Amino acid sequence: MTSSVDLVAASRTYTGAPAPAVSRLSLHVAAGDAVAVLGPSGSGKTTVLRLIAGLDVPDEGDIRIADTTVLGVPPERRGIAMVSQSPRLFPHMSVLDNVAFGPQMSGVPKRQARQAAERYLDLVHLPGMGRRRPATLSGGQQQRVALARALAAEPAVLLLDEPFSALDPSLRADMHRLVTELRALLQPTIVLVTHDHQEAALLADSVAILIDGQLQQHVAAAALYDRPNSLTVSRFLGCLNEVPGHARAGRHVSALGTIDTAYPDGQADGDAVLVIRQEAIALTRADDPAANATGCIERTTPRGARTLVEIATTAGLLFAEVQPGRRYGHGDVVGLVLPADQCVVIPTASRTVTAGQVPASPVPSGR
Amino acid sequence: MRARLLLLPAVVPVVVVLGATLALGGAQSLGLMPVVGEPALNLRAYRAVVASGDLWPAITVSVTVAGAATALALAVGLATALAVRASRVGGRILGALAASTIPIPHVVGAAAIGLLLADTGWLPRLLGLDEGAWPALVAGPWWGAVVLEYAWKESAFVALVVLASLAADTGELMDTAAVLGAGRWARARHILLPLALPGLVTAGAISFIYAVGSFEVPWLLGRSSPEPLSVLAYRLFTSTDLTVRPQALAVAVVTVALSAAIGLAALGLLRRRPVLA
Amino acid sequence: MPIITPRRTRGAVVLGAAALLASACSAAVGATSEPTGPSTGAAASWDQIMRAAQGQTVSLWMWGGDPQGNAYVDDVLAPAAKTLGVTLTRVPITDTKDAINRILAEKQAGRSDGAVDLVWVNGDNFRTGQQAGIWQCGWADGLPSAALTAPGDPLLTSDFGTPVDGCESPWHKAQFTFVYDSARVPDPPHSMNGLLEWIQAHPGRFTYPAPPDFTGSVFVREALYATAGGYAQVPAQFSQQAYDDATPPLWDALNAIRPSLWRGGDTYPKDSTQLDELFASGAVDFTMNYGPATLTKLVGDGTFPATTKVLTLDEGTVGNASFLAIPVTSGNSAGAQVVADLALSPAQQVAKADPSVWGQFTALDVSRLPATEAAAFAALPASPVVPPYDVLSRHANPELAAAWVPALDDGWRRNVQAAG
Repeated sequence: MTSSVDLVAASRTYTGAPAPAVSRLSLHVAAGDAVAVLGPSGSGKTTVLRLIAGLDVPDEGDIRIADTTVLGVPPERRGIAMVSQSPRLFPHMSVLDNVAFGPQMSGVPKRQARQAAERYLDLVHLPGMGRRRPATLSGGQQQRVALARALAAEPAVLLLDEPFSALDPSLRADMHRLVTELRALLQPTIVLVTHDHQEAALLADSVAILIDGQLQQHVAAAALYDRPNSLTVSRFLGCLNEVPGHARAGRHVSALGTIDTAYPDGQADGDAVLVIRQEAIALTRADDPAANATGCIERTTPRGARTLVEIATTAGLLFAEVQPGRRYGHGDVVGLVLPADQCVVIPTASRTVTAGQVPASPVPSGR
Repeated sequence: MRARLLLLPAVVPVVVVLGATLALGGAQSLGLMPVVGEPALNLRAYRAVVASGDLWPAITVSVTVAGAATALALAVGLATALAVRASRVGGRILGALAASTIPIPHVVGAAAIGLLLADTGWLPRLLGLDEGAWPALVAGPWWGAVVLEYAWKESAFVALVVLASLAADTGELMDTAAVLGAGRWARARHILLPLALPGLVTAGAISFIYAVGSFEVPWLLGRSSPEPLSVLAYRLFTSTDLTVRPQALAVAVVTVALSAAIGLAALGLLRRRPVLA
Repeated sequence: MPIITPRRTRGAVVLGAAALLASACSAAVGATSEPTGPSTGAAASWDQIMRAAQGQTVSLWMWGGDPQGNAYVDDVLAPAAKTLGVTLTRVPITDTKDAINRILAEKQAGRSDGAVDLVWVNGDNFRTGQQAGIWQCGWADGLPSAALTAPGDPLLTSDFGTPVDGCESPWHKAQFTFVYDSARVPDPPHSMNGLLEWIQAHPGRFTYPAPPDFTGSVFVREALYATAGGYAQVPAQFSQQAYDDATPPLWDALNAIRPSLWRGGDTYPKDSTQLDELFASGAVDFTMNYGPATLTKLVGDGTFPATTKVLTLDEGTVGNASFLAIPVTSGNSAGAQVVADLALSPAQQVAKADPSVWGQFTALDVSRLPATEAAAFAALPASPVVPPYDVLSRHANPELAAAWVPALDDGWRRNVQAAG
């Protein structure tokens, strides 16, 4: 029932748009895998799903499901199902008939289709809601029905288009648990589109970062933050610290001093920016021998349970997000510890990745 | 309560005008307000209309013509609405075309249809057809021109009502259905038609009632006999014999009753369907 | 989603249905059934009437379907009325019955300043008005111009059998005429019976408007005279006995020609306009009308073929006069009388008789006119299509009493149309 999905150098430009929505995009999703397409709004994420679903056709390139091209195959014969940001339940049908719609369309007799629908309603924890009208359900319940309806169609590929972004955080967490549960149970191939990198990391095996219609990086979900291959990706993922300088023999030399990096073999020699996530910097006493640099506290901003600290250093402002419990005052002098395995070096020349070039990055493994 | 009060300025004139009109018409048909003679409450006018043998054929013709025209208008109107939805530029042009026929009065439409479809009209001449080769649409046995005129005018109305009543997210629902495996026909049958149904029922009822009540189109394009209800009422109303005027009003009351029945049937249909969020 | 609510639907339903009633009921507002006798005009002197008329505005309600008639009233009659101090405005209507209904409604509402001051009327509409007592009476004989009509002229003393009694003033005379295309009918019949035979010999080339249309009614009466053996055989006054005696051969004759009519007699034109359209397009070879005034223009502008001719029958056709009547609801009676007198004056009658103006036959007796005015009539240009009135009205048949008209209309519907 599960199938692989491939986009092969697919491009799509909308009439009147100045730039392509998707440009020479190649993406492989193995059967049973979940891939998150992550990007800011307007980056072409939804177009990727519409191309896979057959609701839109690429100007160039190929779309393949189970290693067979589906160009020219209408949406209803692609064996897919989709859940969107809004539930899009059919208002004139009962909840049960909404869920039974997919099986019925594939020729299952009405009674059996409804029986199947009952099972899927149980799966999404809405037993006995079948007789209700969609309009009488809460937003979270409606989205569960939408999920049940998509699953009931027993798709080879399940497309999720920002399915939970309209829900409030606690409902969203519920839905995340539900999807994880359903994945374990049904193992469908999933392509998830989201702008929330935490959600991407949580639900998917690997994450494809799409910015301005171009695939920037495709990386295992667990390593999402480890090795941004460009400043664009690094910034999109929320990394605040960039120190210009140059790399030599696995070290980065800048106004901050010489820092050991994650590239001890020296593969990134030349002008380069040192990138380190604010969560990775540890603060210590100024005279701690483990400190890579010292600085002076400029400002502190609470971030939920943690605190974002701005530190003036010889290389300008650096940011550190620190554990609860520690308090810093303005003007305190601190030492900064930059763990070598968290220090990523991005060559200055590779700020932008040329289209179509598959970036050197850890290839996500199958599950 | 407040909302209901706000409706009063709209409802009161309608109820007053409508009530007064219906009451006066009813009173005249019951012999209470004769133009000549003494007022007396009786059903003489109704009996006379039935006895004349004109009433049943009139009802049959009116209902048949209005039914055929409405069915055609619904089919064409729905197709137009779908075409408008389906394509962006062509749809806009089609929508504008449909909307542009709305302000044309039926009497002008009927005259134009007459010029076009009469035995010696533009179309048979354009096609170079001899007399006899062209079907007798105007004043013919099947009321062809009357049905076509209503269908043409009302289909634009149906299209606009259906377009307005289809929710903004209909396109998304159609996409969703397609992705769930519904083909073109299944989408039309299971999604579009049910969603368009309230609009279709409403527009159909209004169109039917209009066709039953309208006079000028069957007068200009219809045959001289049998007369539809409106033409029968008009002939009796304008008769130089003032004593038959109550019969004209009796026919009018029957027409109102028929229209009200259709309206109530449409209401029943709408109510049986759930009100959608 | 914007569902049309049941409430709104119901409103639309009832509104649509009631629209039909709305017009029907307007005539009944404030209705009473109290019959009003004919009111008698004041025995005022003409000078007094002229003075009272000064500054009055008179609304003349007339059938608006004839551009020449409209132009005559607007461009000739109204300016002349202005010089007498009366403003004349023409109100076009599609059917004289509209004016009757308006007056009836105003009379029932007790109005004395009604919208209608003068109506172009005759025949059954006049009779209907008399029946309901809506006409002012006794004024018409006192008009100065009335002295120039022939005393006892039957067309002017009796309007379709209803005594005129000074309740309306003559305007012009008309003669029922058949019209044919001589190119397609080289050898036309010369009698009504001959016409009925011609119809059967030439299937599909003839039809007549369905009564109760005015022109269709006249055709049926022409056929009645022919099948009864001449107008003298049909009593002018209506009685059931006379109807039962005279009509069976009429229905037989009309049923006999029915299969030979246009469309096999399956349907009929609704009015003379539709018949004229059929004739103009060549679908039929004959048309007919009561008063061939417009014929000259229709041939002149090419609507009718140049070979159009008027068919005169050996036994003659029916003729009538049409009149101007003043309703009791008029608040401008004096002005209306001044206009009626002006309309009957020799100058206006001669202007109106010109085929290029309107071409209506005069209601005056030309022999009673002073020499100069009689000469003006003699000098009128002849129409290339329509013969002069004295030729047309030769053997003119009198009209039947108006009570015959609805009876024959109804009989036709039952015996001829229903048989189809």
